[in-house]
Amino acid sequence: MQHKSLKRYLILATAVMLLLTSACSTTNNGASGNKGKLENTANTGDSKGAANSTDKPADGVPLGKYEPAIEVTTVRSLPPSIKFEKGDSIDNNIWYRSYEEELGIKLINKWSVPQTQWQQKMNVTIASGDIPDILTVSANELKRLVDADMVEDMTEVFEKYASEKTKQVISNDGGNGMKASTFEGKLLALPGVTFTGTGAQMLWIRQDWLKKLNLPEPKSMEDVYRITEAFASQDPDGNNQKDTIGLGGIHKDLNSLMGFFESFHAYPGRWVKDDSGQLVYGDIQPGLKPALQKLQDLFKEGLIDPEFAVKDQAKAYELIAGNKTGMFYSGEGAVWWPLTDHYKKEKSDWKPYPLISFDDQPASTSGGIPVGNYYVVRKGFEHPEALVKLLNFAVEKQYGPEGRLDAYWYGGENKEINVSAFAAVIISDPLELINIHRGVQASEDAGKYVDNPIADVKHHYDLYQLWLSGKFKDSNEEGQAWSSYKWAGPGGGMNVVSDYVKENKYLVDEYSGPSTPTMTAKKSTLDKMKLEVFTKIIMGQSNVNEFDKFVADWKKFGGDAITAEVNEWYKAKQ
Amino acid sequence: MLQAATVKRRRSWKKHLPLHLMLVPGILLLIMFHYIPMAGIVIAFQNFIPAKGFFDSKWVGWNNFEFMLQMPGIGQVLWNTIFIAFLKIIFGQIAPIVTALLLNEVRKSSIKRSVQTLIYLPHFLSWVILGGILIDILSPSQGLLNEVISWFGMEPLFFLGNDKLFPYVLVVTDVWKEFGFGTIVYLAALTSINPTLYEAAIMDGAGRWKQTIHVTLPGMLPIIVLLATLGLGGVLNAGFDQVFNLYNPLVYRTGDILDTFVYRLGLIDAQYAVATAVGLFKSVVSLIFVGASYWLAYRIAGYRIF
Amino acid sequence: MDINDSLGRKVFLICNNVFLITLAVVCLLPLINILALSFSSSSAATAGAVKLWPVDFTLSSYKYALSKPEFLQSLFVSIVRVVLGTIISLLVVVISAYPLSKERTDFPMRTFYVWFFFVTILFSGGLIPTYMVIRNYHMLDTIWALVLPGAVAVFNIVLLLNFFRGTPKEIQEAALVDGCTQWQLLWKMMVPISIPALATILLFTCVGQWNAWFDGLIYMNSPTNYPLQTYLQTLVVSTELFTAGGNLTAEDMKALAEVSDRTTKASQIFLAALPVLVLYPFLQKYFMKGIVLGSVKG
Repeated sequence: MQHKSLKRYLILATAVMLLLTSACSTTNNGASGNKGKLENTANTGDSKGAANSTDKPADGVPLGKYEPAIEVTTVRSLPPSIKFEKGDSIDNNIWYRSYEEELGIKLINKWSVPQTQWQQKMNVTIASGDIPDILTVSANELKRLVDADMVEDMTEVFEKYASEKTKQVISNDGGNGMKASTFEGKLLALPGVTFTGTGAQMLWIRQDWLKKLNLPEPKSMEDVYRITEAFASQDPDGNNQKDTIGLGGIHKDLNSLMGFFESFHAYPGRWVKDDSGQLVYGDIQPGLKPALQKLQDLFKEGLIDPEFAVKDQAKAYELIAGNKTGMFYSGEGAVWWPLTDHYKKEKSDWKPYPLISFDDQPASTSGGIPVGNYYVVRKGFEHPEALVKLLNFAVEKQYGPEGRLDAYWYGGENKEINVSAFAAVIISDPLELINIHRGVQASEDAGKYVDNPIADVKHHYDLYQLWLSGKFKDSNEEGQAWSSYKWAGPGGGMNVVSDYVKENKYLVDEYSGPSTPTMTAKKSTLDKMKLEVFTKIIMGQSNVNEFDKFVADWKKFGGDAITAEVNEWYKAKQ
Repeated sequence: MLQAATVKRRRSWKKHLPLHLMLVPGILLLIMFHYIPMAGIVIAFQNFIPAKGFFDSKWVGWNNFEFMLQMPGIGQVLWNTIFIAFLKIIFGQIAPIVTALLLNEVRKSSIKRSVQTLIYLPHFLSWVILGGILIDILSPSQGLLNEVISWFGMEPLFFLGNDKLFPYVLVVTDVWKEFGFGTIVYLAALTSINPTLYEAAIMDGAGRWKQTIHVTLPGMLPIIVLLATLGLGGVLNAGFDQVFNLYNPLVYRTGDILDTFVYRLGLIDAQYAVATAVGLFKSVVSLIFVGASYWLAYRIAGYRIF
Repeated sequence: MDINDSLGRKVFLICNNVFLITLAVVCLLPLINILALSFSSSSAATAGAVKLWPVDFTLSSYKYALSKPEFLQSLFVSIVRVVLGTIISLLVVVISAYPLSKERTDFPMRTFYVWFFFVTILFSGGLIPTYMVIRNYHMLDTIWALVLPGAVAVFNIVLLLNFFRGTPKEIQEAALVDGCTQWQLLWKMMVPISIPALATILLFTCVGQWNAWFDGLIYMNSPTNYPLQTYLQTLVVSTELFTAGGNLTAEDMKALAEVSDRTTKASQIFLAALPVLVLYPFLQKYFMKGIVLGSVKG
């Protein structure tokens, strides 16, 4: 019965669909017509099939120029802070002009969208099968495209066209990225490796408050609790009101407590290796129980924001901006948000501390998936090597003999424009950020700027030297310059990260694969359960023993299955 | 006989031709932008893979529906959705009617006009913005509302963090945001009531209250019934934007609705087929509700709602 | 108040006024908060210090908003969209609502047509198929993608047809007997006597066109073609959406600092709400005063 009615429905639907198809096919014809033209123009210059003929000497040259230029389409996401030189746009800027002049690649943005809405636009693009020649995707999107057979095999072209430098930089992350991009032996994407240290947590404490209350710098978790207590009860803001909170920055996402959990050797949301070499999920690690117990105690004593559970990050940071709290866990990026503005207004003095362990084992921090994004080529695109060339180009502009030309990195009157954001395809050495700090530190030790191939070293060093000399006093640049100091300078955020890496205290998420079938079906429910249970324990609405029940439930309702799938993937990748 | 009927039909066709013609632009646009895309509903019965499109994606029958209905906690989510949506439909109807009636009693045109303008304002603010403002207003420690509550000697309430209160907070804030919108329709309806009816009522010695009951309300009835019926079309729409911006782990139990549920599902892995299946499910339920009330109104009162 | 009002009536009127004014104030509060934010310094705003009055009064956020080329660009797109969209939609709504307002005896097909229209409220193909269709019509990145898909505002049609039905049958019949065509009847009789309803629908259409943002995001290929509300939406986004990935880099944090600046958002929200605030009182006089009577008698 059911089948019959379904069939009838189908017939009807197909009939309606015919209308759609006729419309579709005309456009397809149009598109392929265009493509034909393109190919022709490419052919007149080169011999037939630039990509396929291996006998051409121009082939296989990492930065060989297309004569005449080819058209390649892509799509772009625009960060909210993006700024352009006068007359420039995302469609026309130094990178895009150079692509055409130096590589003969005329890169066309099919669309561009502000970063905040990227996901929406991307979903429509992928689902409607309307993907450009080159695009940037997440691990999940990559999986979807691979399953759908929509991406081109890059194995050969990468081997043939990638420059030595590109090959080196791309595997500098220990090969994680390349492994994650390889499916059944085929390289189906080029990994945009993330920077080592991204996601590392630290404890930011307001030094002027610490000094005012005569408190020592924290050496143990007991010290941290003592500071929490003092910040809440001893009126650090000096307004004679008990209106401050000990540990701030906590919001409903609980990501904000990552650093705290890591002090208890628990890494919620990440896959970590246990002693037996198996991957286990951080949401059910035993260290969470004492951590939650401690948070519950702090909550009961009124040392954390009683309303954290309804706030988002911006709302939680209002307490910092409003001088209601002087301590919070975050990454090194906190110097940019929320501290830049706070410094500008309050001249507050902040210092990041590495995580302190709650026991005698040293505390480690962790980063998320080590591959940020993937570059893929649409299946059937005639010039898959164009992606590799664009990549070579970006690598060359960073690590080539010319070094980093400022023009590709910083623009505008005060070098306030981040020009590298215009590059459509770019990868950097995973250790880049840490090397910026180390470069700055070297200059610091020498007492003057020591020549460094990374343009950012000079940028940050010069900027904060001017700040130290008092040149920016009460000017608009003051906040930025201070942030440069607190980020790259000695004792700054990247210093802490650099030490983590040096001391092997930086763990990466061991699972960089796409969602497994059980994750797709169950993970959203498990995540919701976690947030609910953890939040209620912290707020004292549930007993901490609820955690044990949660662990059992988690395993029962799909967690065990997910763990099995993840370990299977892990074994296969080794 | 037969011939006469054909002639009659032909004449009727000719007579109605202008009416048909007037509908042509609307129908064409609907076919172009609504009916053709509706073919996309087939995704609900497929394991939809974009590259393969509608034709080559695998047919999976009711799998997507089963997948949704087997999700743990779906029962609670469905209940929350219906509970919140129903309260919103009911109070979203009553508030504008009462406001329109009260505004109708105001004599001073300046008050009447400014009140009417001001109550329409919240409609223009998105839930992202209102979310931030509501967290402040409803805060138990320094919120305006709890301050008012404390004047009456009551304990402060954690409106957004209490799962018993949360559905009602959703309903009240939603009604507050949108009632100005409904009021306008009812005010327009009030203007079309024939003044002679009032004159007759006054002749019969009816006071303002009696006039309201016997003239004004019956005059508004068609629009009330219409808007209530249209409202029923949203019986499974509990308001994604609002819930998404206000809910939090403490109120998942009573505040999680179908749309936020599907949204979180999609965060893990974009699931077009399941989302379409949920959408189709919502549409069918809405159709049943609207169709039933349309049919009932016709059967019982001989009245076509639209 | 009339002198001959009873005491009870007087008390009622006073209470009523007080109640309605309180209600209005409650509705006004959030906008005052936004207005106050827009005139405050950004550090006071992020500290949550701004309630109903500006702190550290400054006009900088307005200067910033108006100096951004995107703001004026998208304002222009919005104006084009509202004008074009309202004209087209209103025309379609009027000529669709009129035949559908006929009784079945006068227009046998009307019930079928009504449901043909109504079903589109309940069922939709969803985002992806609609996008594909619009792409196939080559309307992506054009104003038509914003104006045409929503032109048949079925909610408004149903509303208007109910108003049309509420008008006295006799005058319609009389006019037809006099030799009026349906077309003349619609424009010469029905439209003039339905001014309050049309003003309502005009307002809804304008506001709907003005407020719509999602279509701009999906159908426009570059932020330079966004209507104002789409542009605003890219600013006024919950940071939660932004941080969903979890792993935030320094660049992300810089972006977040930008996104979370409440004063620039506030000024732009206020500027964006302004045109409607101006339009509203202007239209108000049409749906506050019934002019039904006059036209019927005349």
